Amino acid sequence: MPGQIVRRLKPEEEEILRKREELAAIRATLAERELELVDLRSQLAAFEGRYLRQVGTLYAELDEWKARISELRARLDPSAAAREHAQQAREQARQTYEDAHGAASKTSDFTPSSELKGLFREVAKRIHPDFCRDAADLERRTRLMAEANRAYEAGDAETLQRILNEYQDGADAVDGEGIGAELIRIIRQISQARERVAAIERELTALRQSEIALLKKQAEDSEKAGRDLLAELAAAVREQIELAKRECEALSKQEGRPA
Amino acid sequence: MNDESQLQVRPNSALRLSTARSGLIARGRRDAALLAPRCNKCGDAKELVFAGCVCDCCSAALDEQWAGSTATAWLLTRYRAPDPDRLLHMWEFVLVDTTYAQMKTYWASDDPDTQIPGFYRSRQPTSQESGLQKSEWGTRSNPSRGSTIRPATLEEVAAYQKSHREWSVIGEVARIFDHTCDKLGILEADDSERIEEAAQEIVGKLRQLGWLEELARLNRENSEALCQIDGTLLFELVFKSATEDLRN
Repeated sequence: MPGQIVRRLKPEEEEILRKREELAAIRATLAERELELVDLRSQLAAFEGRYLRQVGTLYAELDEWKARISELRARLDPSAAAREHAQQAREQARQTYEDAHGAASKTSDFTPSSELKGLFREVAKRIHPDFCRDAADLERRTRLMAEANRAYEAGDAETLQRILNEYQDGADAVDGEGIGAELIRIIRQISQARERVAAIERELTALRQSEIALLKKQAEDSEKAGRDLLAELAAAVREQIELAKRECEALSKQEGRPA
Repeated sequence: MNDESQLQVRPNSALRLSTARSGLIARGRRDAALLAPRCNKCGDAKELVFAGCVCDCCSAALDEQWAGSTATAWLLTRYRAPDPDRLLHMWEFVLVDTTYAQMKTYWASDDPDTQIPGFYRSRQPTSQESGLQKSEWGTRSNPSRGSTIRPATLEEVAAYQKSHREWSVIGEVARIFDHTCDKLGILEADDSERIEEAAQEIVGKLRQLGWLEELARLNRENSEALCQIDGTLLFELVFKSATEDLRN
């Protein structure tokens, strides 16, 4: 059997192969974490929208009645304290109305398909800003990644595919750099990616402990017990509204004018 | 956790909450906590593991007390305090041929609409019972009702069976009254002649069923159940006829 001539890799070439494998692994991890983060944010935003529409708007109505009650009381008892209380109640009503009817309440339910998740994962793996080569590349990747985030939250698979195609079309090509320069670049990319993974973990932890996440968990636990927490909350606030209306009517009669 | 910085890890986060909106969500969380189902027994917001209304702790405490009992006759006592200023009231039920497992289900529910067989009597609690129940309720946020179980004594079973028999007789007599009045179209304000006619028919039916002696006995013993029938003219006539009939 004739002997095969095999070129033995130089130590720096072996090292670069190992580092490329390491980079590929961290890219995959980072893409997964980015997906997890955008998924959680989208789910929480969707739940918040549902909460604001179903319950928040009723709190706004309740606070409006409370403000009217405080204003009626201030007219019946024109003391400085009553006037101040009425002003505070009116400000609270305005704020609650703005919060309940703001942009956040328009967020619709979020149910990403597996195709959408796969596309986002691929985009994050390929164009994540942490894998940039220079300042111009960083700027481009950052812009595309932000666009990808928005597209994912909107369930827009077409845009994700376009971002992926656009990036593949050119900018990812490897420059004619030497082994030493490539090794340094890969080591830096691995380091940046690890830092980003750690930052995402921190953000995920913070999001899971946020008020909206805790409320969502309460709603999910209630659902397991056969209850609809948001519907129950809405019913409870409606009862408070009825009581406030009656109180307002009674005070209006006392003042001699309709509520 | 309503600090908005919690949600502002990324500048472009979709969940960047204003402090006020975060407050609106916290408000929902506070109100939601008040809606959490509470254990019928201890009043705590816990996971309800028995009959959908009792927590593990209270369920286990009752098991420890009675699960080993082989009793087949039980006394269930229900307490109600309509409002804090009014006296406690209690209702007792004797359930025979009943296992502990069945009794535990009756004990679990404090729903006044739950039908419990074996009504025995209602009464005011003794000062000792009242004190005990109120001290137990002292730890609850909104106490108004409760129930206890224990094996019934032989005397309680005998008293219940006697009372149950009386109520059955009275129930049957009342049914005959209603049926006869409906059939003859008799009203309370009718003339005495028509009421007399109805009374005779009712007496005839009671005689056929052998209830006349029962009625006379209940009257002799001042039965509580008998007092539940209104003293209308029709009843008086029936009762008079029944007494005379027995004398003859």
